[in-house]
Amino acid sequence: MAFSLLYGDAQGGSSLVNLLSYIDAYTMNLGILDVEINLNICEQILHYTDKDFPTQPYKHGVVNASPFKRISYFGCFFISEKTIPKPFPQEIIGKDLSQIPNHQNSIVLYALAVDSLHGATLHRLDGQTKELTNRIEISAHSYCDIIDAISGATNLTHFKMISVLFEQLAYRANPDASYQAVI
Amino acid sequence: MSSTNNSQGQDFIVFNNLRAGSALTNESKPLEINVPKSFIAPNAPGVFRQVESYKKVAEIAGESAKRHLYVFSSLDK
Repeated sequence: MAFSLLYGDAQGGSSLVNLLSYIDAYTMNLGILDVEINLNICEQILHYTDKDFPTQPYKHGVVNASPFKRISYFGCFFISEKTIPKPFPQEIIGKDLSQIPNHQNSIVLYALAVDSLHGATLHRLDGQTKELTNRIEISAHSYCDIIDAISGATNLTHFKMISVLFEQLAYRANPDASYQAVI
Repeated sequence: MSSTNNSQGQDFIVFNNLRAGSALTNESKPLEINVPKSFIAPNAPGVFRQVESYKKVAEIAGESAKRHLYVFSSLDK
């Protein structure tokens, strides 16, 4: 489901409600209870995602940016600002993941990104519209590597790479959504 | 997660598993946020047509957590 977090529907605070709803339900279903979250940071990163999205080279602005760029721009803020300050318990996520600094924000962001992109619509430059009907799927091994790789993300250093990462994962699951491979 | 209102007629959404705070603070109460009345209204029109989706978002997050628990259980504890 591509929910409004990706599309700048901040009217009435729906992006904030959706974000908190997601984290609330995700953590509860993992069995991680009473999760501390910095509400001010949530509000700020949603604001920055909408208002400070880079205009170069993306001259069409955030509203017309691809869902990959949107989730990456938001996600780098989410991770770097340590929106969820306390690590998740090792007995739930396992030893390997628990040893990754800031894993809690990477884990939530990855889940949020995959669910946000599932069903998202791409408006391609050739005029075609493609829906990401298939969910991104990866192995447990790749999952750990990605959680580790994005745990230190910042907008300055990781925004474009994480955007490309999710784009390629989405295209692997939805080959018809990709532009033709030529090189 | 639940929606409610108080004696002043303000509407809230309560996130039962979240606690507002930062690394330096500790809150024991569930996180509540104020929302416009029309946000929670069951037949909210216009720009609020998507807002009931937050319950759908929670369902999706719950399903996602189950998938991830399966992965976590396969990792070294």
